[in-house]
Amino acid sequence: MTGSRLCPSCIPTPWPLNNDSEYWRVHSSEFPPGATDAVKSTTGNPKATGRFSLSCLNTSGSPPAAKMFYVAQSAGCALFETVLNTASFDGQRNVYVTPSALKNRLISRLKLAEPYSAIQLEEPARRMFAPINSPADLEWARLLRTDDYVETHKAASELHSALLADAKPLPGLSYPSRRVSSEIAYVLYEPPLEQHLWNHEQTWDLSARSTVADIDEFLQPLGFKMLADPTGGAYDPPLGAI
Amino acid sequence: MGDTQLTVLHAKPGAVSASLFIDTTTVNQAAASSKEEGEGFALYMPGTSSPLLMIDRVVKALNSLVAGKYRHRYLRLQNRSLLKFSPKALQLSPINITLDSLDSPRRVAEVFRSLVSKQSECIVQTWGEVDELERLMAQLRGSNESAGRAQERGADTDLGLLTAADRTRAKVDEFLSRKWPTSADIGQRLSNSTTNPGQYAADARARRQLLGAWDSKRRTFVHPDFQFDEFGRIDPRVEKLINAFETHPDLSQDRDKGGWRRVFWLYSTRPELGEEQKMSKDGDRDGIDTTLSSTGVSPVEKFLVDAEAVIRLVQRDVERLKDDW
Repeated sequence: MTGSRLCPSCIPTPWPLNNDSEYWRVHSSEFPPGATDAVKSTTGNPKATGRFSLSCLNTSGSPPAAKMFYVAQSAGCALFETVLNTASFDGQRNVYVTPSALKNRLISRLKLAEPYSAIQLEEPARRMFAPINSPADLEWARLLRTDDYVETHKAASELHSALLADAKPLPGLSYPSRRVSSEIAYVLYEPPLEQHLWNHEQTWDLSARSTVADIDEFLQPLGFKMLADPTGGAYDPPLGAI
Repeated sequence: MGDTQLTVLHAKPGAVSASLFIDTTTVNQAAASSKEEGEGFALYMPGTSSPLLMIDRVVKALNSLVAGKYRHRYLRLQNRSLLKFSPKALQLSPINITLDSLDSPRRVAEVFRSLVSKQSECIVQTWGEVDELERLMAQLRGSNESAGRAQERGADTDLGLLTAADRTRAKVDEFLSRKWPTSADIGQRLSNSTTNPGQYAADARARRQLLGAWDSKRRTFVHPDFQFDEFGRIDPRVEKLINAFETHPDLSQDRDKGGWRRVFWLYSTRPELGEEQKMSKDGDRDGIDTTLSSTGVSPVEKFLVDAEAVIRLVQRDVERLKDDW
């Protein structure tokens, strides 16, 4: 790995995640089918397409290199990194997102049951394997900013292969959230992540009407609030309306 | 002190809800006591299972009220039934408040300014497990400072006092106040028909050439004015935009019969359309930047100068909805 375009200085060393923190995860309500919320919230996604995913490189139908586990340390960050990526805003910081963005989505609060680590791509930890302003540093900066996730998949795969060659599995990556600049986002890989490393605390159904007030509370620390969907009832015309 | 009175109600700790009633005291006392009708201003705080959260909301509301932080556009409450708390008699008596005189945002703003200038006397009363609520309030007094900091950040425009549904209703009302042309207005302008002037716009909507939004009060569609050129004719680029919406799972005409989803989408800011568009050299998809903090413009503003960029944004949203994490 040393000497590669992404880590010219040394092999990055994973750093422990904060064991005391809450972690928030947005995930499907349909996977695994029929499972409890606790199982759904702690099962990696084999079809993730997000930043640094290792799930979507296999087009041949073979199993993915790893299932994906995206988490953040606040619910607001987890939401903005995922289901609110098509959100629009008004001057009063109201957030509007169409219903499909929330359909079949859950958000869960988790805690680590056992220590776990991830390679830190945020500064200053990144300097330890990619000197500042080096080509590797600039490449990481680009990968952390781009919304062309295919490029990030290749980089994750490159890192994954390099660590495997050194008999070290890639446990995960942490990086500055692209959507909430003050926070850190995490992508963890399963394996080596295992389900029993998490304690499930609570799950909310993001598409349920009753959850809107909860989402408001999740976004409140960031100063944002949700708008309800303007359809149905008085918002819709009667048949034949002119 | 004036005559203004503010009463906060709590009910049932464990499933707490609260209403904040500002009695402007011009309240017709006779009417109030006869439980018929009063006049005033009310804020309704949605129920929560957390007494702490509820009281936090109340404290923030009081702080915000005194600081004159409320924005009139959120304050739209009419014919809401409240329980008015009588601090002396410790009795709850329901009154039905009509706020016709406060229906106009300007009038609401005036009333609030007046309240703030009077430094309203605040009477906070609780009902239920008073000791527990008072203990929590004492606990929260220490958090007022942080609430103040939140206000400075501008994060408290309505402090969560209104529900998402309330905010949506207020937003729709704000759009309706723009006096967009009705179907009849368009017919009179663009059609020779005198028998059914609204039909011209209805046909244009059916052909996906015009976007309308349903006004349930006036029982007619109104039409966002960005769709018309300086002569009042329908901009031909609108048809392409509406057809792009047809590919979106939530924004097709069938999924958005009232048109309000598309109005919200079109008139809200999208950071992707902002100044950082030139970030494409950094690898952003379609030259679109998605940083939350970047300065964006609304699709409507963008449409006027670059309709294709807005159509691309619709397409991008359709793709983004397929993302999985």
